Amino acid sequence: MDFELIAEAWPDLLKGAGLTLQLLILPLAVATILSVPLAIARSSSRFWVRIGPAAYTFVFRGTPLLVQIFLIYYGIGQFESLRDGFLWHNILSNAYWCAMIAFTLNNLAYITELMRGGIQTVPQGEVEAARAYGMSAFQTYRLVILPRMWRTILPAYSNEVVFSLKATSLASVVTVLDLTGQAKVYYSQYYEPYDFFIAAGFLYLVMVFVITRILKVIEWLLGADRRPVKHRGETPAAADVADPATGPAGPA
Amino acid sequence: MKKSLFGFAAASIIALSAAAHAAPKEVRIGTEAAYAPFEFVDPSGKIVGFEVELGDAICAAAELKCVWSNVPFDALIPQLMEKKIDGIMSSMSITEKRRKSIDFTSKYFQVPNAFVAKKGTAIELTKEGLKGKKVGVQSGTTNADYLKKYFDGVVEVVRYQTQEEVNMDLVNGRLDAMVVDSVIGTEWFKTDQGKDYALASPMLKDPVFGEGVGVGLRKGETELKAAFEKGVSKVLADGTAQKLSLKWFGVDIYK
Amino acid sequence: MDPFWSYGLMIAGGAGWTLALIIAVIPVGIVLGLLGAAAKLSSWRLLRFLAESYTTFIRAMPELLVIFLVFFGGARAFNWLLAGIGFPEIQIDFNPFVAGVIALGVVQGAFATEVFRAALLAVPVGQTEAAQACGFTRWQTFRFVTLPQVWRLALPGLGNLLQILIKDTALISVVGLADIMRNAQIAAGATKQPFTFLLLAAAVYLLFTTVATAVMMLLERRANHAWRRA
Repeated sequence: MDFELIAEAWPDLLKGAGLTLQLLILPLAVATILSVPLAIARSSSRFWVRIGPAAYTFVFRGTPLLVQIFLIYYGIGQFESLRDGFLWHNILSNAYWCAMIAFTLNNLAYITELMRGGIQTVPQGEVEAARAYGMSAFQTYRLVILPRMWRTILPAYSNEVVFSLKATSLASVVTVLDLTGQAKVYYSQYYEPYDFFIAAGFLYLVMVFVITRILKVIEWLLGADRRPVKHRGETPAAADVADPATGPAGPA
Repeated sequence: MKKSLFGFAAASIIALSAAAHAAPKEVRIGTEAAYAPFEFVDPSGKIVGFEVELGDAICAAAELKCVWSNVPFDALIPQLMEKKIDGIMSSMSITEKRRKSIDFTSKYFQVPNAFVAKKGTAIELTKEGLKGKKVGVQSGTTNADYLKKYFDGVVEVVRYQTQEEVNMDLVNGRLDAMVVDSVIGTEWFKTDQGKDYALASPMLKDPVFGEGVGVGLRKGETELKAAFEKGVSKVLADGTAQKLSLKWFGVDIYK
Repeated sequence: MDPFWSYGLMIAGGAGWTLALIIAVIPVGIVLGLLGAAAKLSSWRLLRFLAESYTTFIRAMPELLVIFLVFFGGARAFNWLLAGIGFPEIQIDFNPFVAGVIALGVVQGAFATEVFRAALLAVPVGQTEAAQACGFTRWQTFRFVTLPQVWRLALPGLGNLLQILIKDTALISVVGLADIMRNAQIAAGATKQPFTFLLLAAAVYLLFTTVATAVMMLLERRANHAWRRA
């Protein structure tokens, strides 16, 4: 390890890390909001309502994110009519936005499936009780089903966030200078494989650590009413649930 | 099931160690085959092109058995140093910077580099003329070094893994120009994809571009270097190189 | 031949490399996973610490970064290591395939460690105690009581890992393995139809993941049949 080289690259690596965080947060936020209606449709009992979202998640979860990014970045250029349009000049001509779109679409598929699972675990009795009280379908979702769903999916959602963070590194293959992209640029100038990639790995580790801590706090806050009165020395056994490997398959 | 799984594991470990081997008997040449018409992969998956045929001729003249492998451009020098390959023939220019890491034979061709842009565009080679332009280059090339040396912070340098990707993005309109070997440019103008593009600057002359393309070799391999030197001088002297140039480019790049 | 068909065939040929990579990585991941899980549950603190660091670091690293590290730096580290333990004459050829097997194997191993650990913990303690009461040694208990059940309990998790693995193989194209993805890029660059060929590649991957899902469902049904009969 040559710390002089790392010091030279450090400001750019930090800049890259900033871009990585942008590529994580914006797509995740948009996808989470859009997932709610999609997940509700996905868990509908009517085939024609269900089939659209089901096909969407099947395709986007069944293909590599790399293919999706390349399709959006290079693939769309095949349609010349599109290349003269507004969308192209303002959004698609920019690698940063292409990556954003790809990550949003990809996150949307995984989070939709996650929420579907959460919605389906809400006991039927609760839904029926809500309806018996005279709640509309909208009210039932807003006040009963969705809050419960959130609590159920949060551990798996945290894993999804970590997977999503790691997946942002793929932006580097379409010229975005995120953390991985910056490390790669320095590598191809100095041919030192360890320094830059390990420094970048360290920054990813820090980001994962901070993000998982924040999500743990949110999880704890949301579960306030469910917590048993804790006695000294007792440790909750729920930690095993929050495991990426046993959770749903993340984006890759 | 378990048994077969463990058997599988054992077999794969054996397979992995079989990939380990002692000193090479043949010479492994690394090239980045995404640089048509110098080196590229044809639809059947074979590595072909001007430099591949020239390289084969050099190897034949040097009485070496060369096998080609496709290696990303910015992995070529590390792979050579780590003995994954024994030589580089990948339009890699002989530069002072690269000489710090590896050795080169004398050059077997040299083509100047230039800016390429949409037909009718003329690029002014000044900081004002290039200000704010997006210019694409392949990562790890002298073209990238040139932009970094003279226009760092002036132009937005966009680095790509392969030249094919630079071409695609120039056509897609994401780039204002690219810096490339002029022969790569002129050959590309003949294709359907590149027909609306042209050289947009005079040929660039700068020490950063080096002294032409030679065979890249590990330092200290004097025997191999002598053999390659013999091969290079032979193909240049007996007209093989010129013939191949006419075959692939329609012009003699040695003139 | 029409370029669509010739390049289409080339992408199909790349599927061979993708499949070979998947088949080579699975055992590496499973072996590393079992070792990792055993280390995490061991009573030896150093082993637990090593396994914990392994999974924490690898699971936080983007796969692409692991691939770059192994592909660009793996040979130097390995050969240095081999020379250090007295085998300077052995040179491991880190071509994209071998680098891919090692990088993805290490990543899969880290996730498989968690799957196996959870599965090992899910075997009721009463059973192992009963086995030891019957005079089984610790190894016999592991071999005849715990391990047969671990397979069944780990299958769903391993199914998820297989899905991740199939999609991760596409990343090896970035260091030049002529797999589905790399060949699709070559076709995209050589023709004016990047969308067509990338879509074709997507379809081939979808086929892979769908078949994998079906195979895992079959395996799970077989593994669970003793539990279903009741």
